[in-house]
Amino acid sequence: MASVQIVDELRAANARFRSLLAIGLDLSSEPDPIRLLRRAGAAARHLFGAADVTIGVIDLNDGTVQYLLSGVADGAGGADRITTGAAVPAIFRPVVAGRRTLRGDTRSGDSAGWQWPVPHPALRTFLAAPIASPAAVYGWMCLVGREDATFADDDEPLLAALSAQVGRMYEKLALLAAARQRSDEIEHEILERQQAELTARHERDRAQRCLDVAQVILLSLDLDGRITLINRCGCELLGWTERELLGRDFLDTCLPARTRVALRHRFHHVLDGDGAAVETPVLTRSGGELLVEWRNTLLRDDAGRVIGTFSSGTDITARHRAVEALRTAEERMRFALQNANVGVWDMNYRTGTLRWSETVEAQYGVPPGTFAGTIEAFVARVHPDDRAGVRETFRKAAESGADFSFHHRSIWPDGTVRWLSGAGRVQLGDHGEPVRGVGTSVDDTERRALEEQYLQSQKMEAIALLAGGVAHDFNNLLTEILGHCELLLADLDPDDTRQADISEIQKAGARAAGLTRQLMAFSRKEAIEPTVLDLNVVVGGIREMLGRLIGDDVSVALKLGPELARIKADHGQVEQVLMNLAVNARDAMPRGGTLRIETANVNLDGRETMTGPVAPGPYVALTVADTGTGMTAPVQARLFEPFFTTKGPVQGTGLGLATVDGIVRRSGGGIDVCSEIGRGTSFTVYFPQSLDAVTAIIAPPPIVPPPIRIQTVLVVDDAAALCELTRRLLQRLGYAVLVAATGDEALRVFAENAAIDVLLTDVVMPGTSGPELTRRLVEQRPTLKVIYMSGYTEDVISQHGVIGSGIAFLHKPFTSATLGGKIREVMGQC
Amino acid sequence: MIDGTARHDFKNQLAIIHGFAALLIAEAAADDPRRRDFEEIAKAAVSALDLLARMGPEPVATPVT
Repeated sequence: MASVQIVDELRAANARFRSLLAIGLDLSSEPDPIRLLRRAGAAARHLFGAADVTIGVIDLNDGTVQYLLSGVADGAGGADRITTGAAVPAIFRPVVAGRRTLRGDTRSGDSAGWQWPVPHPALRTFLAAPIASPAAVYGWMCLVGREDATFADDDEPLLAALSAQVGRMYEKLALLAAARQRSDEIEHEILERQQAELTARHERDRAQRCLDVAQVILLSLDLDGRITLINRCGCELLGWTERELLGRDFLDTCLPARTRVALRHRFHHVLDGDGAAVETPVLTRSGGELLVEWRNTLLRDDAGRVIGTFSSGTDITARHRAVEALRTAEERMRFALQNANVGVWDMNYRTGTLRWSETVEAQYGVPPGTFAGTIEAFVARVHPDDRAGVRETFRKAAESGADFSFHHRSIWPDGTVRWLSGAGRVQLGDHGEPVRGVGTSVDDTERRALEEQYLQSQKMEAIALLAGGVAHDFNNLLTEILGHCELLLADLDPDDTRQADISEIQKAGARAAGLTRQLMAFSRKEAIEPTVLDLNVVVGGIREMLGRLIGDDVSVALKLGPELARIKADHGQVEQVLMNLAVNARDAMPRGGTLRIETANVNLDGRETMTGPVAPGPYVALTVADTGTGMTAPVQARLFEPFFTTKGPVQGTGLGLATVDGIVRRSGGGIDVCSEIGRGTSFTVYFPQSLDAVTAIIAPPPIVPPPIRIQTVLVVDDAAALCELTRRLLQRLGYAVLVAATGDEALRVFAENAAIDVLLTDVVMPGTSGPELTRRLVEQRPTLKVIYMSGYTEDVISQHGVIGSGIAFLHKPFTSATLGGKIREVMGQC
Repeated sequence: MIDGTARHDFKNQLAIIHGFAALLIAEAAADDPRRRDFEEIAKAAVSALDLLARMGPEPVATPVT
């Protein structure tokens, strides 16, 4: 019986080992560690005939336990996997900590009252063994016995063997799974990292492209000012490569030395948060300088600490130069405009505002900065007669947009009238409406006046030139008239009633001769013959003419100084001075008044007169005063300027007082003017006194002593009447006379008559001229005396180099007295 | 010619000369030896007046009577 029992037991044991082996073989093919545990649990329940099985799996990281419950013990996989989050229950601690099997019965005392994790089946009898490898305990397997069954002693080593086998397998699978998981994680991490890197590279590339295409310098500096980033544009402008620049101190490398200290301060301000734009000079590698405008922001790390700056810099060198150039050009323009007195105006048609430069304001008599700025304010400043024209000009310009020019007068609040001219341009908008008008304005009052004066003087010059030539002819004619008068007066009986008529003719001829001098004064052909004069006589001589000249409305009051000293001056010129002053006085008294003429001896102490300084000494003063309108100070100041006139262009040449000034100045005198508005004007002319005796003005026909020897005069003049007259005058004076109408005829006459003492010849003649004739006759007879006679003056004749030594000059018209005197002079009989 | 006045005055003088000369001629007997002198004077005065007229139109001025 015993052997049979043993054999059975052996057979049973053998079967269980075989089962164990089979389980081991079966499980060895399971790849999943948790499924391995489940399948091992299921096999153990079957092997040991247990009611249930639970497996506790310890998380080696934190010691918490998961339970694989028996509901899934068949290994089909279920829901029963419970994570408790709790540590190994005390009941199994010996199993885990002691790595031993534990067989117990909860119905007995020591295990009673244990709380099992729900839904762990309640334990009655149990057998637990650790699932472990030599390296670690991974959990335990707990078999729950059937109702009343208990586990046998030899169940313990068998379960221990199974658990140990499962433990090693689990370890291997868990390590494998962990390794696989780790490997997956690493692989995933690698992929992620690759992806991130790729993304980062894309972003970097994109950022770099942004940096590179930017046409501004993009620059990052760290806190010390070292370059941490610079874009392509920056490198190109600065002339360095990116590699060279990175890490270098920007301020030391790229800023001119003179600015570094100041700009390092500035850099610190930027770091302190000053976001204002900065303009700095920037040094290029080649030593050039750029002007760069920087805008700065701060770079911060994740914690918000400032780690540097990020700046964009615009190269404004060209713009700066352009702005400078523009400013310079504008300044130059302004300077030019101001100095040329060119005003600028600017009309905005949209707002209706008109802007004037100060120069324009001055041209319209508007105080600087007070122009109201409207078209109407402008037109109000235009001379009333010109307003319509101005409106029309500007209206046309606004319609056509064509350049235009204008000429009009401005009228100032004080009544001043100025001539303005200018040009403008109107810009038209898209629909042809005027948008803006700009232009210039110049005050050309003076220029116009000068132009008018110039034209007037041109006219005068023409008249004078004509008059000069004509005066020559007049003088010939007057010589004839006066000569015949002389002959008639000499021949007629003293009782002849015609004497008076002929005297009238003679007086008129003398006056006419005086007037031709005035014509000639302007052609500088006047014969200036200073003689010693009594001013009272001169005044008396033209008293009558003055009366006619000034009209009936003006009375003449003479106050001639007694014992008046003599002066030395040209008679005609002194007359002219008197006449010009008298005419001015008359013009100053359009409604009549009194013309006062005074003469007096005065002593001057060398003071200035209005026309300049005069030497100290005795003078004769000639005062011409009126009771007229008087003159303003500005008019007085310009009195003696040539072409200055207050009269209309027809009446006045502006030469009257200038002529007076010239004549008085040449005589060594001066002029004073005293004028009061509404009271009148007084001119005082000072002539230096002369100690010489008076020369007769119109010498009475002299009682001529007959010449001792009859002298012969050859008269040559192409004017036949004059020639004949001269012959008769000379014959009356006791000379023998031969006449010739031309130079050639004179040569013949001279050849036929040996006894010719004097040649009296005209200068300008057809054929052989006076000088030519003289040369040829003097060649034949060096002792021949020569007198030129001409209506031209001596200085005109002498300008042509025809008056040599021993040649006298006789100015036409002449009287028989001057003719006889001249002949006696050349004959040495004076 | 200077301001119209001188010219006017000049013309007046010539007119006076011519006037008196014409008077003398008219009063002179046909065989008066002075007649030629009067005629010369009148001729010269007319020539001078012609010359004056050829100098252009008289400037606008108030004639002085």
